[in-house]
Amino acid sequence: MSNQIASAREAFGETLIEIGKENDNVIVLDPDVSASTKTFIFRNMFPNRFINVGISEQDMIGIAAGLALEGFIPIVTGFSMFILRGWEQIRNTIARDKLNVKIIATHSGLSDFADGASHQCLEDIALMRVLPGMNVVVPSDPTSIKSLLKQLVYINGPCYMRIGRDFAPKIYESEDEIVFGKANLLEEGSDLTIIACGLMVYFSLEVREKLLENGFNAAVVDLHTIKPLDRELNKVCGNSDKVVTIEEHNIIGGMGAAVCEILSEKGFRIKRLGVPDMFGESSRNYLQLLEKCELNVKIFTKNILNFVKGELS
Amino acid sequence: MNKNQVLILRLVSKNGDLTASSFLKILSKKTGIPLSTLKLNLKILREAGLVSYGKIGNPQPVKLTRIGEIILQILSPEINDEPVDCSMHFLNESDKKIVQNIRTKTFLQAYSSKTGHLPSSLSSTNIISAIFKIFRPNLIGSENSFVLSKGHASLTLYAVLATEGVIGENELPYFCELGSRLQGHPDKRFIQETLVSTGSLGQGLSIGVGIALGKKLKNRKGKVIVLLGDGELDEGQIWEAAMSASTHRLDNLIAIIDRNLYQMNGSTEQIKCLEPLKEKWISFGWDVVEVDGKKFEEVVAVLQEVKVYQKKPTVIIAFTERNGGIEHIDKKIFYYIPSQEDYNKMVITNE
Repeated sequence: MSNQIASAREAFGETLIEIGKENDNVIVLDPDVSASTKTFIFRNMFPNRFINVGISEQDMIGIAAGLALEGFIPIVTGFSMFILRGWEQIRNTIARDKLNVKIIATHSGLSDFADGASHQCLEDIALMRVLPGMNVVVPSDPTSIKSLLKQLVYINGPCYMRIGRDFAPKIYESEDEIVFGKANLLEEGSDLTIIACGLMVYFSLEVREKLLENGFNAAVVDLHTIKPLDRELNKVCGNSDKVVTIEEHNIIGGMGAAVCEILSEKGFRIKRLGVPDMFGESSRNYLQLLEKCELNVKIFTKNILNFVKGELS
Repeated sequence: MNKNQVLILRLVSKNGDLTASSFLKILSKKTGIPLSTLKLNLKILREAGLVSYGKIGNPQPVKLTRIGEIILQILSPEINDEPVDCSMHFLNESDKKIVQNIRTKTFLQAYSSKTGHLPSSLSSTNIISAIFKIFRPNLIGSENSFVLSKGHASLTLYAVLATEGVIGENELPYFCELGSRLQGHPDKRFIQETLVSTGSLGQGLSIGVGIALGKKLKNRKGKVIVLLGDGELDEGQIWEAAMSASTHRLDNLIAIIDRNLYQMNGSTEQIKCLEPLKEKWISFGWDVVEVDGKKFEEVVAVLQEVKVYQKKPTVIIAFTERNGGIEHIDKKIFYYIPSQEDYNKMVITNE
């Protein structure tokens, strides 16, 4: 594991170029936030396949649907919070008609820390995974953003990818390590399994170190594909029947809930960790905001120790 | 007799149900002859007893009188040298029958299912029928696309698709029945020719913008036609899409507004005022054409014009009535289930 910090949105911007070169049908839609989402790199290279639709997310989703009907692979970009403004359009057109539209939502979770609760998005996993036929992925680092984005372009059907703004420590060395739809066992462990997504995968690897100091050996799984959920997830979890989920999302309805839906039927005991049912707030520092919203290695370690020792938390 | 008078005489002989004003408007657009010139000449022809067209307040279709017919015959050799394009489309009898038939099929579904939005569907009958007549959209081999943004007019869409042979006529009585392809609102999962699922208001124009943009980027021909209800213009997304269309100069996009003046709970002007509607669209960068949507042949004529001469995204405001001209149905109501008697009457009229 390396501590190199890269930027999620920059990795996204760069990967778009690669995809654009490979496939003439890729067209990028932007609700006038290209300077923030880094899609301007694509615009400069492929001006004819970049449409700034203006600050109108609902219109953007409709236009993407129309372009998909004409054979394009629209990549819809924007802040995750504001893409949700077009949720009903996504539900009623993109998902229902299984249109080949890729929604790449940046600034998710609390990553847009300074902008405050209006811009922070802790609800999108729940709202997207409930849509029939929608593929939902949450990459954990720049390499997995690159890998999954390239894979999504070749999946026929609607996809939602959730990425943060910047802070994205490196986890993977090679893009080949990530396969859409397959939970990734990063570290083995016999006492419990931590299942995480997004930035929380990196946190989980740190939590694992703390737990080792306390005599517990935790497996760590990167569950980057939340829908369709890996049917073999129970096998990835190894010998222990204890599972902890960690996500940068409202504790209700997100990745942890998805895991419960599968594993609770297979005899696992599950503890979910995430943002309590609340909104975020402004902070000048991302990590401080995460801590205030109970996303912090120390807090996780304490909760997990209570859980594995059988105590109520 | 001058050239213009000969031209008018010749085209009046081919006229179906167009009133003098619509007739002249189309002719003026088609030939570039100023409307006022044409008006003057038509008036002269009437004073000479060659044509008739009713009076102000009681307009009748423009027709040749018996003397007019004779004069036209005498002039025939001269007319053959006339270079003006006279390929205007006018309604013939069989079209009338087809529209009547579509209305009956619309009724059949509502009558059998005791559900559906009959008034909104009747209001759109002429428009949807005309769209399919001129553009044959969404059908095999057609390069044109149609989005029924006001998805609650599904009864009419299905009636037209049955006429086109896309769905079976025997399916019509099963509208909304569990397992039927005829969903309450068009659903592409069941019928591919709906092109895109609709039903949630205010979204079809954006989809139309996307299709039109896609066609342009891929250098494809073909028009994109979106039928909007006037009530759904309340949705902000319509106006987002209207701006997108003019920004991208989509001269392959045609929106048609079914302007029946009512939405679910009353008049559009009392609920969320749309007027001045024409000026709104002009200010959004669109070409605006107004048409009497109660007259099939006029809608057809306007669509043919737009098909050939479109320079910008164009919106056609079609003035309609929710009862589709069936007098005993209240124009103001949004929900009407036809009785056995209604349906029988419909069938008899049709026969």
